[in-house]
Amino acid sequence: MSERKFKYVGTRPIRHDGVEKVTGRANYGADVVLPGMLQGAIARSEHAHARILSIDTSKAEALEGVKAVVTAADFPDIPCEWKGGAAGGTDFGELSRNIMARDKVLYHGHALAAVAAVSPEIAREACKRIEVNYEVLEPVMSLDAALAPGAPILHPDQEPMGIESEGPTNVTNRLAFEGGDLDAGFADADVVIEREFTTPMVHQGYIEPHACTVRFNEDGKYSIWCSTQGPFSVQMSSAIVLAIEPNLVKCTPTEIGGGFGGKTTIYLEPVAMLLARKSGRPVRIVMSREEVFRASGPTSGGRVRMKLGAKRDGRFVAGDCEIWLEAGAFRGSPAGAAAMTGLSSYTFPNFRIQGYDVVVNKPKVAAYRAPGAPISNFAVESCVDEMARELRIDPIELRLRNAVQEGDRAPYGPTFKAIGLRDTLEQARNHPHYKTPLGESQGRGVACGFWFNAGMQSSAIVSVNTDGSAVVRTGNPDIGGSRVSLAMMAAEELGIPVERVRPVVGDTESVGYTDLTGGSRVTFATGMAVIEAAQDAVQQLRERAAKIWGVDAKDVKWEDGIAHGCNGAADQDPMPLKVLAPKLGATGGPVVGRAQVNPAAAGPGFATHICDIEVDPETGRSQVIRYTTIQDAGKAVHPSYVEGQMQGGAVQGIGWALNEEYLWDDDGVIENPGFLDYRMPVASDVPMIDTVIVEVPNPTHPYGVRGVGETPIVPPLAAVANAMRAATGVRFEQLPMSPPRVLEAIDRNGR
Amino acid sequence: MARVVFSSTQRALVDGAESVELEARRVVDLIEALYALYPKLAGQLDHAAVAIDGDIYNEGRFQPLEPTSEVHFMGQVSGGR
Amino acid sequence: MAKLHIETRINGEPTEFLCEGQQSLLDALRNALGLTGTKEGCTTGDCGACSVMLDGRLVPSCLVLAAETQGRTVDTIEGVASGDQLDPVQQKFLEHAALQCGVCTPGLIVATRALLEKNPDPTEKEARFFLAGNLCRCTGYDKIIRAVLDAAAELRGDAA
Repeated sequence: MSERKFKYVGTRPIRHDGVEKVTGRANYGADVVLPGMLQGAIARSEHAHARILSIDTSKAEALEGVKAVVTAADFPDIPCEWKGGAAGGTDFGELSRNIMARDKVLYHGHALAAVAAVSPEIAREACKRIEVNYEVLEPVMSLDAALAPGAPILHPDQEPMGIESEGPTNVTNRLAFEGGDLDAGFADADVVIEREFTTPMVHQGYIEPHACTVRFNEDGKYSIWCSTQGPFSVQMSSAIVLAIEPNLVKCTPTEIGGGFGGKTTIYLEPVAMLLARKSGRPVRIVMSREEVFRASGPTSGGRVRMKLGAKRDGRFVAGDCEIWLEAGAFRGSPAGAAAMTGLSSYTFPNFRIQGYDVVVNKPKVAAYRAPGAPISNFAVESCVDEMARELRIDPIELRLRNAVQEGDRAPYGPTFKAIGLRDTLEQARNHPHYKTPLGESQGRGVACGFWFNAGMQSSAIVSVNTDGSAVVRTGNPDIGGSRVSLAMMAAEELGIPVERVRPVVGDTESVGYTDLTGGSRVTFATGMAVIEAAQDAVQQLRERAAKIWGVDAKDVKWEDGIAHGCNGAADQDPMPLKVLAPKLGATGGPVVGRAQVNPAAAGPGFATHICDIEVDPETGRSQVIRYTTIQDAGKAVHPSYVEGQMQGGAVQGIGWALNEEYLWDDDGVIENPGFLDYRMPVASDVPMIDTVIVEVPNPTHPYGVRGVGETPIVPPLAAVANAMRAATGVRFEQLPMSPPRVLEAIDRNGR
Repeated sequence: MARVVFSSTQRALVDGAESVELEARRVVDLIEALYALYPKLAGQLDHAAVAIDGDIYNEGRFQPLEPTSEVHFMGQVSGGR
Repeated sequence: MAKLHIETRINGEPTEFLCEGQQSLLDALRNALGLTGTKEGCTTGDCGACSVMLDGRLVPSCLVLAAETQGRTVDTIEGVASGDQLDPVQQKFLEHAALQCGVCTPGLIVATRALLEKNPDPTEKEARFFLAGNLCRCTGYDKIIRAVLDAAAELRGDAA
């Protein structure tokens, strides 16, 4: 496998959808226009926590130009029940209540009603005329408030999972992993570091707001065009929420302007479906940026208590990690994933990890790039850095002494196969960055990070055109260059140039079921389906050439896009695909290869990041001046897009570390629902992000590919904090490390 | 005999056992056997992901098991990107 | 209220359209004129996805009233390529894989051209500061800056 010489894989061709995207022709969610289309708007809660006593929509309905109004009364009452295990699942009743509040509003901005009108202005004006009577309740705006005795309870009727609770609680789930003997481990430790860390709720920050357009046909079928990471999950979830059969819903994914996990769930689709059915006209709803911040998926704010014990020689002997994550208004934070990833970079003979899911009056969290992992990793890697200082061991050396490798058991159970963590650490130690001298007020930090990567279901169709080109059809929206990577894998098997393979993203009626674009799975799992579909096509092409030559298919081999006779047929003139393709009709009809897979996980992804930061001691302002990411990507199919994932994830993580946070007032109102005050990194905030791709082949993939996209956001929080520690002498236990906080900490530290 | 290793959350449902060895040809047979052995576990593994010798399957009910297989049940692994 | 009749020049073409007094240029471009290459990311002038040129000056079209374009010239992403030729900035964005999701790309290309018109030989720092009004959440800016500097070199006629 690793011996295979690739012709296209590993090169850097221009993406097939590139010209459409640099010319503005590509259609994103809000670019869909249908004849007779109405514009939708959503009325949202003014309170963070309140009982809905009544909603009166009559004044909205009376407004000229309003064609339909819906509230929760128009939605079927889906029961709330957790589908899935303690560590992950969905509650469609709660999904429905998040899409449209029923009985209670649970965060400021929670949808209450929706309007379709002939213009967006009229729709918005109608929303203002909807009258709601509330019984205002005390909002629960922090983990402390949620866990306090006597705290207001968001869901008094809900039974928590994994814990015994006396009476109602805002803790909905506890998950734990243990091994060895924790007390004995700490007793055996020469040095113990124990600290508590907090991180704020942050948003994925995709530039394209959520948007969808729906047409309802009189035969009961809905057509949805929307910006989503998973057209099949839109189809399935929308159908469940509206209690209709999924086959009545067709979802066509538009181009998607970023998602990072935030577009794996639904907000607008069932609302637009009901409005379209009620009005008899197509309806488009586009969120404003403010709505994106108030009502679409952030990721959890969290608190992590970490205790790390080590021997003098640096060996870790015990790790104890306790994680509380805000789920937002409904259960389902990534506490499970945070727990499963937290201690996975190192071997701990004795360990305990506990994760708690806690509901608060904030927007319901959605997946965000390696969900939960950056939060627990921030705590663990900060403590590892402290331990290196305490033991006077180089931080990379300390990590190497404990880093997991093939054969080690992850704390959440299974045993690792070939993984590249140690390789990334070795590369970091030898990288010029690590040897670059630092100046005044500068510091350097190192951190590792881990994400599982997902497999899941994918299907692919590879069809050969009469001119000898090919089409690859899959069901994964292309969020960052996956089309070209998939085409490259088909090109590799077919032996034709990448430019002659056209990759197509299908809708839910033109390709077999495919799980969403998420979990770093597309190039791995869908890529695997494409390879197998292309191999299926090649097998058929060999049979066709055999038919033409009157020989057996086993006497035809396929090399570089050319059929060659072999064995008894060696005297046949080689036949390139271009010559064979026009003859397919005469030899049995078109050649269509197909494949479907549901592979095991994509091979764990590990990375090591190095960050240099400069801090102005007068203002507390910091600037990342040098940053290097080193990651095991398995085989990198298109190295530019692998690097792009590494760089983008690093910068998202830098934003999380230094500036990004939701700010709330006492009533639970978000004070910064815009890009001016929710400060994401801009071009002048960051340096070039150096990348080193380590290629430890993933044994479960034919080319050795492993997932890439999520791991890069896991190390930066700690890498930046560790650099900050080196630059200022202060251990930051709270993110973001914004200038006022840094200045205060420096002053408190007496520097 | 496939060996099932329990997480500490699961241990509460299996009388504190850390692991158990059971005869099973496929994951689904193993789950049946576990439910029969530990009634409190019933239904809990229906949607779980399964790791067989380190490979994690989100939907692995019909995966075959070797006599030496080590099995873990865990939450489904998805993710954000 | 009667709509306003606006006569302007968009991507070199004399163009007439109707708009409300409060309507933004972004809204008019996308919804009245079908020029959806200009993207909406925030409507508060903070993301740069809706960048266009107004009388040769870079503006966020969400903060310009459509009516203000009366008698003026507007250039959008749709006018950047000429005939069947991409602009060198567009070509360099493709070659450097300077886009992932691509939704910020039209605004960044318009802004990059504005930069290079003003400053044909920007340093990395100058490029970063000029483009600080264009948010990109996918790339971490590295490949964008490389594409911009390479496009500048190409436009100057330097061998890249």
